[in-house]
Amino acid sequence: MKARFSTLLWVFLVHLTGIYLFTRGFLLMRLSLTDISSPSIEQTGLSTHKRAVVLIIDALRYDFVTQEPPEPPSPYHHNILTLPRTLTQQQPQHSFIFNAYADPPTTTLQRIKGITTGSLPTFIDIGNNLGASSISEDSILVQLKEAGKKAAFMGDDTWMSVFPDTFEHNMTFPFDSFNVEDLHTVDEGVISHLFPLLEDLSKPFDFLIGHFLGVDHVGHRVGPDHPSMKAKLQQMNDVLGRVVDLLDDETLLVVLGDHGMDRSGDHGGDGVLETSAAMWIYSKGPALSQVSHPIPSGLLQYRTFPGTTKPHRGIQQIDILPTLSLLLGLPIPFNNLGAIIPEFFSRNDQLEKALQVNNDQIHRYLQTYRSSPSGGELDEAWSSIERVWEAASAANSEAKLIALNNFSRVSLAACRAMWAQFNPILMGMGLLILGTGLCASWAVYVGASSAEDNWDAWFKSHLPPSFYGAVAGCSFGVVGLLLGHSTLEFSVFGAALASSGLIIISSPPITSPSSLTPIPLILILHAVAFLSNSFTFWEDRIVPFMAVSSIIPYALKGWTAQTTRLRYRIVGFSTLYATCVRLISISTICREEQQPYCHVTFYASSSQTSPPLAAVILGLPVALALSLAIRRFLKISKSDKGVAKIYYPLILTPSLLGGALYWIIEWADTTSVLGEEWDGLLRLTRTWVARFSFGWVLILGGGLWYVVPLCVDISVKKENGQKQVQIIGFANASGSPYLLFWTVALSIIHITSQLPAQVVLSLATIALLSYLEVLDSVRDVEAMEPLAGGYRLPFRFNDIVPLALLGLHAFYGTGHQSTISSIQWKAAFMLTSTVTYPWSAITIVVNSIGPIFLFGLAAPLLGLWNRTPDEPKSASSQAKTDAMLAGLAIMSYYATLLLGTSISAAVLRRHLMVWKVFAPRFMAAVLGLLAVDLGVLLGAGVGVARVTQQEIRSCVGYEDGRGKEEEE
Amino acid sequence: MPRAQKSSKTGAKPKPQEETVQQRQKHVSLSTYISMVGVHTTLLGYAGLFLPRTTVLQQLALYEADAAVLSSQDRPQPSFFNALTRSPTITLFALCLGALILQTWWSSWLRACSIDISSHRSEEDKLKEKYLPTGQKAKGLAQAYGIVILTSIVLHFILILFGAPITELIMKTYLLALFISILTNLTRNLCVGRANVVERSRFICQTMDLGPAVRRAVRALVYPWVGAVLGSWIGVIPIALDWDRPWQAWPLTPAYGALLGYILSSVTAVTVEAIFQNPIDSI
Ligand SMILES: [Zn+2]
Ligand SMILES: [Zn+2]
Repeated sequence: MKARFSTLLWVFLVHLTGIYLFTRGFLLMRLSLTDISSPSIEQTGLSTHKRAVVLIIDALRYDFVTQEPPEPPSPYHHNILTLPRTLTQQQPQHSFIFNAYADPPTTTLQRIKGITTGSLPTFIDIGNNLGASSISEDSILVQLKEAGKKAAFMGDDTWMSVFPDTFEHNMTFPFDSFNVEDLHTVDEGVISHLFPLLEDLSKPFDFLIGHFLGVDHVGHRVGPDHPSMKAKLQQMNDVLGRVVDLLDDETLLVVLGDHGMDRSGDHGGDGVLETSAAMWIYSKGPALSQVSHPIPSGLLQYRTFPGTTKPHRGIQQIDILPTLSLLLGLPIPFNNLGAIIPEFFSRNDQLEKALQVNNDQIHRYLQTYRSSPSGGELDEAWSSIERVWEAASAANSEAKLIALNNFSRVSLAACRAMWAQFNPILMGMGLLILGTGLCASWAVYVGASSAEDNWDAWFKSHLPPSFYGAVAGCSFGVVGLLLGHSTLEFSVFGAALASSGLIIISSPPITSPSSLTPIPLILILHAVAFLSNSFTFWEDRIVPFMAVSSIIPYALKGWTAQTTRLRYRIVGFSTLYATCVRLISISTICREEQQPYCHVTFYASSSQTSPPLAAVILGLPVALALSLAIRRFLKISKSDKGVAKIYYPLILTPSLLGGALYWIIEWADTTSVLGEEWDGLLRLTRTWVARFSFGWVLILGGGLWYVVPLCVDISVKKENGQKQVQIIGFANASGSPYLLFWTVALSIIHITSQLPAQVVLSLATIALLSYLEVLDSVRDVEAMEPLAGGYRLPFRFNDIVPLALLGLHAFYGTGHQSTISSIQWKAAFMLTSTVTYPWSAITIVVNSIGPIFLFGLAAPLLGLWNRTPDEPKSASSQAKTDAMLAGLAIMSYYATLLLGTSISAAVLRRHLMVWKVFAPRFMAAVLGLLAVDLGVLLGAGVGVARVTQQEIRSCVGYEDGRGKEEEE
Repeated sequence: MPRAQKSSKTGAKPKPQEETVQQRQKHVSLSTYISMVGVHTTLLGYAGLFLPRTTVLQQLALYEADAAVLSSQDRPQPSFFNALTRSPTITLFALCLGALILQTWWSSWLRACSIDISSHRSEEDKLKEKYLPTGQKAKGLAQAYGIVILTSIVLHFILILFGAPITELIMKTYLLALFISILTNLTRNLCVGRANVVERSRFICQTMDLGPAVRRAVRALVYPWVGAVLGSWIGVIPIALDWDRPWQAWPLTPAYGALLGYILSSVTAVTVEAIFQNPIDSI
C-alpha cells in the first residue's frame, strides 16, 4: 500500500508544482486598502475647474487621434477622429493630446478601477468583497460624494458593478457591455442621454462619465481595418464636436481610451498596441498651462508609437487621476500611484506644490501598505523608495522638482513589478509541468495496470530513479539564479520535469497503437470545450449531457448480458443513474451569461438567497430517505450487517437530519416566519444543531469505523460434526466498509450544504451507488464472456468518466458556478454567529468544493465494490491496485480539465471575457483538482489502507481455512 | 426470433444447390441496392430541406412563428434557412411526415430484398412472404407504426434524460423523438419483424457475428441506425454556442443531425458493401 500511496502523493506534488508555476505567472494579486484621503489645506489654489466631463471611448488607441499616425496610415482608423488635434493646433494652451500607458491587464473592468483609483488593479484585489466586482478602495467618485458633488453616468454597465450606488439615480443610464455583436446600442444610448444633460442650463451634474463601447466592439468583431471602424470613429468625432460646442468655461473635458487594441482588435495583455491608449484634455475657458512658466524637461517623458519616427508626449494613464482631482479641488484618492501631469500646474509656479501634495499622498499609501499583512511584497524595493524620498526632501529649486517627480515614478515602478505583469515564462513552465505530469500519470497508469500482481516489483524499478531525478532536477534552480529569476520556481520546475520525464522514458505509455484505445472521447471533448466561452459558461448543462452519454456504453453492454438478472440490473441501474443526473440538473443558480435561457431554481428567486419552499418541505424527508437508500443498496450485497447496523441508523441518520434541521432553522430565522422575537433563540439553536451534527458523525462515526470497519455478520455453526464459519456480507467485504468511511465525509459536506444542495447530494449519492452496481454487473458480464475465462477485467480508464462527471455535476447542482460571485457566504456562519477563523473558512471551503472532493474520495470504491478480501492473493492485490488506478484516473481527469482551462486562459488572455469566463474557470479547475487530489489521497491513505489491512483479512478468513461465502 | 439471425448460421456456407440462384440474385440486388440507396437518401435530403417550405406549412409556420426568432433581425442568415427556422415545430412536423412516407416505402423494398437473399427458405416460401395479402400487410404496417409511437415515447423520456427541458417545449421534444424513432425504428420493425424489444436490440449488438450474405441487409439497417443516433447526439453541440442564430433553436440541430447522420451512414453502408462485398459477389 505504501508504494501505491507514495505514487499518488508524487502525482499530487507534480500537480501542485504545475499549479504554482502557472498561477505565479498568470494570476496577479494585490491587497486593496480601504483608507480614504481627507481634504488637506496644502492643495488650495490648485483648482481650476468646477466640473468635468469624462468621455471614455473604449479601446481608443493613441494612433487613432494623433497628428502623425504610423506610415502608411490606415484608411479606416487613422486621420478620422481629427477634432482633438485640430483644437490642439489652434489652442495649444487649452488642448493636450497624450499617449497614455494603460497598465495590463488591459481589460475594461481593471482599467475602470485604475482610472478611478489611480492604482494598478489586478484580477484579484484581496480585501475587496470577493462576491462582487465593486471596489472598497478610495476613488475619485468617493471623493466627489464626500465633497457633496453629483456624478452622472451613461454607457458600459461595467461601471455599475464597480460603483453600484455612487451615481445620482436620475442620472444613471447603464447599457449591456458584453454583446459584442451589437455595435450601436450602447453608443446611441450614451448619445441620447449625454446631450440633454449638457444642454441643461441648471447644470445638474458636477462630474459626468460617458462610456462608449462601439469602437471596442468593432475591434473585437471585425478588427480595426474595416469600414465599420471608419464609420464609428467618424460618429465619435461628430459627437465630440457637439460636446465641445455645448461645453461651458467652467467644465473640463477629458476624452480617453481605457486601453488600446492589438492588430486584430483584441486586448487584455501587455502588448504595446494594447497599452497605448489615447488621452485628450481640453479646457474651453481658462488656459491649462502658461507659456511664461516653462517646465523642466526632466519632468516630461516621450514615447515613440510603433511605426512612427517622432517621439510624442507620453504619460501614465493613471496620471489623469491626481491631475483631475487637484484641478477639481478634490483630495487625491488614497491608493493613487499616478503622478500629476506637469503641464497643467505650470501656472504661477504651482508645480512644486502640486508635486509635493502628490508625493505626500503616495508616501502615505506606501507606508500603510507596508504595514499591512501583504507589506512583505515591498521588501525588495523599500530601500530604494526610501532613498528617493530622502533625496526629494533634501533637494532644492529645479533639482527638487525632478527629485519629487522621480519619487512617484520609482514608487510606481516598484508596485508595477509586483502587480501588473503577466509572466509568460512562468506560465509556459506551468503548462509544461501540467502536460508532462499528465503523461507521467498515464505512464504510471499503463505500467501499473499491465504489471498486475507484480506491482511491487514495478514500483521498485521505476519510482526510485524518478525520485533521484527530482533531486537532481532541483539543481535547475541555478539556472534561475543565473537568469535573475526566482531560484525556488526553477528548482521545483526542474524537479517535477525530471521526475516526470524519467517515468515516461522508463515506462513509455504508448507501447503499441492498440494501447491508445479506447480513447477517452468525453474527456477530450470536455477539455477542448474550454477554448470556447459559450461552452465554458454552459458547462453546467454540458456535464450532465456527457454524464448520461458516458453511461450508454454500459447500458448497451447490458442488452447483451447472458442472464436476465444481469440485464435488468445493468439497464435498471443505468437508468437510475441517468435519472438522478437529470434531476440534479434541475437545480441551478444561473450565470449572468446564461440569461435569458436560465431560471434560478436553487433559490426561491433570482433576487433572494432563501431556498425554494419545496426544498424546505423536502429537507427532513430526503435526509431520512438518503440514509435508508444507502442501506437498501447495501442490502443487495447483504453488506448492511455488522457495524452498519449501528452506524447507519444511530450515527449517520441523526447527523443528516441535523444538517437539514440547521438549514430549516436558518430559513425560519432569515425569513422571520415565526416573528422577530424568535431570532435570538433560533440563532442559538441552529449553531448548536450544526455543532452536534458535525461532532456526532465525525467523532462517533469516524471512531467507530476505525475500530470496527467491517460490515459482516459472522456465525459459527456445527454441521455434520464440522465447524462451519458463515459470513454474511462477505461478497462486498471491502466495498461496504469503505462506503461507510465515505458517508462520514458525505455527512460533513451535507451539513454545510443548503437545503436544495442537500437534495442534490442525496441524488448524487444514489447515482454513485447505481453506477457501482452497473460497473460490477458489467464486469460480471465480461467475466462470463468466452474469451475472459472467468477473470474479471482490470479497471479501465473510461470507467472513471461517469464518476468524475458526477462530481462536477454535483458541484454545479449544489448552487455553484465557476464564478467568484457564486460562493455561498451563508456557510461561514454555521458553527459561530460571527466570522471566526478557522471555522468560517473551513465551512466555506467544504461548502464550495466539498462535492468534488466527495467524488474524488469515492474513486477507490470503483476498485473495491463487491470485491472480497478472501480472493486469492493476486486478486486481492488487484482490488487494491484497481482502487489506486481509479484514484489515479480521477486525478488525471481533473488534471486534464485543469490543463484545458489553463491553456485556454493562457491563449485567450487577450479575449474580451478572460477575466469573466476563462480565468474564473481556471481557478475553479485548480480548486477542483486540489479537492480531488486530497480526496484520493485521504481515500487511499486512510480508507483503503484500513479496509484492506492484513488483520481484518485474517480475522474473517484464513484462520480456520476458508470462510464460507453466503450469497443470494 | 429475427429471421436474419437464424439465417446467419447457414448464410456463411450456403448449400451447393442454392448457390447459383442466390448469387444471381445477390449480384442483381447489389447494383439495385446502390441505386436504391441513392434515390432514398436523395429523397430524404430533399424532404428535409424542401418539404417544410411548402406553402401550406409556411402559412401555418407564420401563424406559429416564434416572435423572438422573427425579431432577431441583426442575426443575418441565408434567406434559404428562413423558411426552415421560422417555426421549428412545423419544420419538425414536415420532417416526420416526409420520413414516415419514405421509410415505409424503403423498408418494404428492403424487406423484399432480405427475403430474397435469405438462403434457408424455398422459393415458394419467399414468394409467399414477399407478397402478403393486403389485410396482413396492413396489419403489419399498423403494428410497425404502433411500435414507432411507443418507441417515440421512450425516446422522449431518453431525450429528457439527456437534458431536454421537462416542462417546456414538450411538443418540440416529442416531435424530435418521433422523428428519430421513424428514422431508426420503422425499417427495422417492418424488416426484422416483431420480435420482442430485447431480442431485437441484441440482434443489433451481435451483427458482427453474421455471415457475409446477411450482412448487407443488416448493414443497411444498422449503419443508418447508428448514424442517426450519433448525428442527433452531435447535433446538440452547436446549440450551446452564443451566436444567437435562429437555426440554433431547439430541436432543429439534433433533427437535422439525425437526418444527415442517417444519409451519410446509408451511403457508407453502400460504400463498404461495394468495396468489400463485390469480390465475393462476382465469384
Ligand atoms: Zn475597454
Ligand atoms: Zn474590448
